[in-house]
Amino acid sequence: MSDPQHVVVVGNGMVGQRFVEELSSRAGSDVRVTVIGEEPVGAYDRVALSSWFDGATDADLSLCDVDALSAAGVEFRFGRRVDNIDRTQHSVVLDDGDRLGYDHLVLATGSSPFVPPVPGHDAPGCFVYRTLEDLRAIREWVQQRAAQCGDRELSGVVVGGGLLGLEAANALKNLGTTTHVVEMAERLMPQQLDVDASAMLRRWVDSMDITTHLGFATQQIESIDAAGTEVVSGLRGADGSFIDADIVVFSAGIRPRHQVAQECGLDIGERGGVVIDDTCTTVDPAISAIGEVACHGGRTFGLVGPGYAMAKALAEQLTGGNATFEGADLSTKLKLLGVDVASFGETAVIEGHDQVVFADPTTKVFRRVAMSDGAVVGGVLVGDATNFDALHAMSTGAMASKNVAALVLPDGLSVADVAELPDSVQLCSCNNVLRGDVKTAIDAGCQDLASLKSETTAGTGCGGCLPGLAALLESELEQRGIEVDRSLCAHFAHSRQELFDLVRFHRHTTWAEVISAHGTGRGCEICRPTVASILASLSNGYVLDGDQAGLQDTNDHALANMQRNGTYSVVPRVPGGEITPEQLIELGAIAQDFDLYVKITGAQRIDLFGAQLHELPLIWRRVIDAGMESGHAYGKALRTVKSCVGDTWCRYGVQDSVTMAIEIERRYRGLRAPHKLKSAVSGCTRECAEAQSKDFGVIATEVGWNLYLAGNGGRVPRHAELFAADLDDDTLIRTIDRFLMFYIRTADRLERTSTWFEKLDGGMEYLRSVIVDDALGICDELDADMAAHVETYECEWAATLADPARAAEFVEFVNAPEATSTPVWVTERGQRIPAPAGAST
Amino acid sequence: MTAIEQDPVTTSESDSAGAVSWVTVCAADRIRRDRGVAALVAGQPVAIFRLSPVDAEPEEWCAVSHIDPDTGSPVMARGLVGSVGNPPLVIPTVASPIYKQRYNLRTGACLDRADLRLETFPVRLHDGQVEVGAPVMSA
Ligand SMILES: Cc1cc2nc3c(=O)[nH]c(=O)nc-3n(C[C@H](O)[C@H](O)[C@H](O)COP(=O)(O)OP(=O)(O)OC[C@H]3O[C@@H](n4cnc5c(N)ncnc54)[C@H](O)[C@@H]3O)c2cc1C
Ligand code: HEM
Ligand code: SF4
Repeated sequence: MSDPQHVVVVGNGMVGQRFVEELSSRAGSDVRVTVIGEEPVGAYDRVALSSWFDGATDADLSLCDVDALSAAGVEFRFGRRVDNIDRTQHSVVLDDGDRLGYDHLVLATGSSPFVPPVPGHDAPGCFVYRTLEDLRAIREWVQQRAAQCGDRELSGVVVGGGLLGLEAANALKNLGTTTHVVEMAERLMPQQLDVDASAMLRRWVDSMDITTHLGFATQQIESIDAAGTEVVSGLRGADGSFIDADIVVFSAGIRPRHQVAQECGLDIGERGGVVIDDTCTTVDPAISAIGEVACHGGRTFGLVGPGYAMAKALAEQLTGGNATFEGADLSTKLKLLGVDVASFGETAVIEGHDQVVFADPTTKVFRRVAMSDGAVVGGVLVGDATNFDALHAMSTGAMASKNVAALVLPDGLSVADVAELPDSVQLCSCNNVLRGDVKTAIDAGCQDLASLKSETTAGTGCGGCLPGLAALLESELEQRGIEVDRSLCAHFAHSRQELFDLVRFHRHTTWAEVISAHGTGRGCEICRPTVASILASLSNGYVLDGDQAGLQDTNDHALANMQRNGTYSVVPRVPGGEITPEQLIELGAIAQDFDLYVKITGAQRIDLFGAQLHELPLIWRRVIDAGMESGHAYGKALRTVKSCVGDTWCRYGVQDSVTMAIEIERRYRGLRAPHKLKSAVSGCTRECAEAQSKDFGVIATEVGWNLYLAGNGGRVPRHAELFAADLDDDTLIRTIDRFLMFYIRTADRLERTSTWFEKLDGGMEYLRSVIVDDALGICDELDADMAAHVETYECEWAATLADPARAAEFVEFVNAPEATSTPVWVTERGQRIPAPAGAST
Repeated sequence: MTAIEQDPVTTSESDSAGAVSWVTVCAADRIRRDRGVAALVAGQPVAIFRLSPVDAEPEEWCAVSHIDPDTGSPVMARGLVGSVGNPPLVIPTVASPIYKQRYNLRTGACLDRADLRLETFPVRLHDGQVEVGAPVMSA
């Protein structure tokens, strides 16, 4: 192939983008590239599309660095479509009539979702799930309908129970609808899973509150008139049944977007797609096709990995290389709605093959590996994808089939027990990175995940291989005698967990003991508060006594939250958000007397801002006299346990959520942890207290309580996951006790329960085995540690005021108790606030 | 950002060198190790630290301005002390409690931002009392 001068790329999706990057890094300024993309923005990570609903922004998802590529001579035209290809003139015609010549044309137009032509399929409220614009439209529609429907819960229906359908269902669920999936076939993911595997996946989906309707043939989408506009109302099945729907999302497969290619006479595959050979070239040597629109060897590839392989091969071809694309196997390993699902090689159950099967309905794990003549030929893993790499390698012949039965057992052998995986085994399927590539990068000096990712591109696609990448990095570094550094800081060579165990074992109670026995130097702002937290978790003494006083960071230092002008806030505990009128009046009076700014917080309590150091004991005296106590807003400790009014008042309530919230808040108040802890209790499934956004959340059921763990709000919100259902009061408390103590023992410093949980190998099942089944034999210790906490708790401000020496610490100037500094205040909406930074004094 | 409402009464005497006048702050045992206190020295808020002995280093006293150079707020005495480096060069530090920049307690240099610096003051013990040297304004 001769050197092309002007390359025109049609479509700026994931594969088109990768091609442009590969080409421009190889060819530099030798080629001129023009990219025409129909979407209004540059390429973004479609694989991670659903994370947009979890808060990922357009910028987070973007893959296209327009500035850098423009500087390298690439021209972008977004929001433009190619309508025509003139093969004789070597030019394309855009939807605005513009005509553009090319020396080489690359089609990377991807696919479009298939919408079954049932009557009503285009009613307002019907959507597809492919682009950022689709997602935006879906969210707007749900918000709009929710506003119109008031208290009625919306119903969302996804048509198609494949991979994408389940992802769309999860999104609808997170948008707050009652969610249904209808599937024409008799099982979920009919393309990828056999009957048994699919049944196991169904158990997972059921447990997520998504209703599946299998064998449902949609006959018609019905609509109604709502306040003068037509909106979708539901799906009518062939058998006459009806499912309510305020929104319908079609996910019934994809179709290659080959129209322009077909119209100009290029060959189209039997089942769609532009036919290409091993060099990604069509019947016209000046036109190539890559990605989902390409048909190679009679098949199209609906995954990004094969598309990337085509992009790379074509870029090499066009720059004088001779790389080829020789097909790809459609093995996948995915985390779908948090469930590991993997398939490789032959997924169907074929007569004459031997099937090695492990099925455990109690843990919803199904693993089947097909063998022929003693060799692995394919398999399906649901709920646990351990050993996928090895089994997949065996199915391609990259590794000898040995110990297969042991590898199929989830708790059986790990790959390491059997053999070393060969270097030719693929680690990252999105970017086709082999284990050998990773080792080479480590040899070249990459010693952490970040540099390894940017060097090899492994783990930058769907992220599914990251645990494998981390494990490989660790074992490789170990083999090279390089120590993996988990030390807390320059003063301690231990991780927080190791330090916790040391302090617990040696019963240390002072900083001096800890640093002289295990550390060096004077410590720092990292290890001092960490040791302070460990000592407080384990002994519950007054945190400003002895040498612990010198360990407390900004807020703990004065048992109050420091504000930007050096003053403090005062936050009394209001357990469960319940407060008497007398207490409310006294808080108001205190605020008036000390001129404090008052704000009701999201945590159902009242913050008083602007107190000076020396005023803290005076203010807390009055708060305590009014029957309140420290709220520990300053500590990495339990904050509030939010509650709704529950069945005491609410017409919908089924349990007394306020009493439960108060009991929980009283039990864990003052408990110091690696990070702050939040909780909430709702009186019924309407969930007014938003318990599923908390570290531990409790929702009432008709017969008890459902416990949700490891959620959080904040910068990266995460829904808490259902840990146990219908617990009685005692079991609920005991389970929370153990969860908290296990977290306090094993988490890293400043690690919220959600991050800690995501790093737990084995997730919920593992946590259950530790704190319910006592697999580690530590439950007695955890219970005892919590009992000790509950017994020895005292309000830190009551303890301060009870001892004149402690209270005397709260003076601003040691040699001038009457002198105080006066911050500069201004007034806003009738209250005193700090002068803006930089304002003249 | 901050004004001082009331000046404390202090006793002072002149240093032999004449460069500073020594102001008595309080009894040495009023100050806990590794936890700063603030004092008014000739009208100026000063943060005083008493560092515990560690490795080969003896107990050490340091005094720096109480005003956080970044925000102008009077808070430095409430910062966490610590150290950087290994023997023989162990530098005592204090971290601002607001945005956590670390400062060398001996020189006032900021370890995290070149544009920030803390004023330092001489400290000494005299008859069990802590004394801080205030610069004497030359006429
Ligand atoms: C929600 C979701 C989850 C997914 N998850 C995974 C996963 O986990 N793993 C995996 O491997 N794959 C996954 N996929 C599939 C993966 O995203 C695709 O395989 C990949 O995006 C294909 O890239 P492409 O460039 O071929 O097509 P696309 O990314 O679809 O890009 C094609 C682009 O071309 C534009 N275009 C089309 N026609 C024209 C024209 N005539 N003129 C100009 N522009 C045009 C389109 O607007 C589009 O922007 C997922 C897909 C979705 C939707
Ligand atoms: C069908 C759904 C819902 C119903 C029927 C419902 C009903 C109620 C009722 C009756 C109350 C008032 C209790 C009282 O008398 O004070 C209430 C309060 C509340 N609800 Fe809901 N709710 C629903 C959904 C939600 C959802 C989804 C959220 C948040 C995600 C929510 C958040 C709240 C909050 C925060 C309050 C307290 C308001 C306050 O502080 O005054 N509700 N809800
Ligand atoms: S969650 Fe609480 S307030 Fe909301 S409806 Fe149920 S009981 Fe009522």
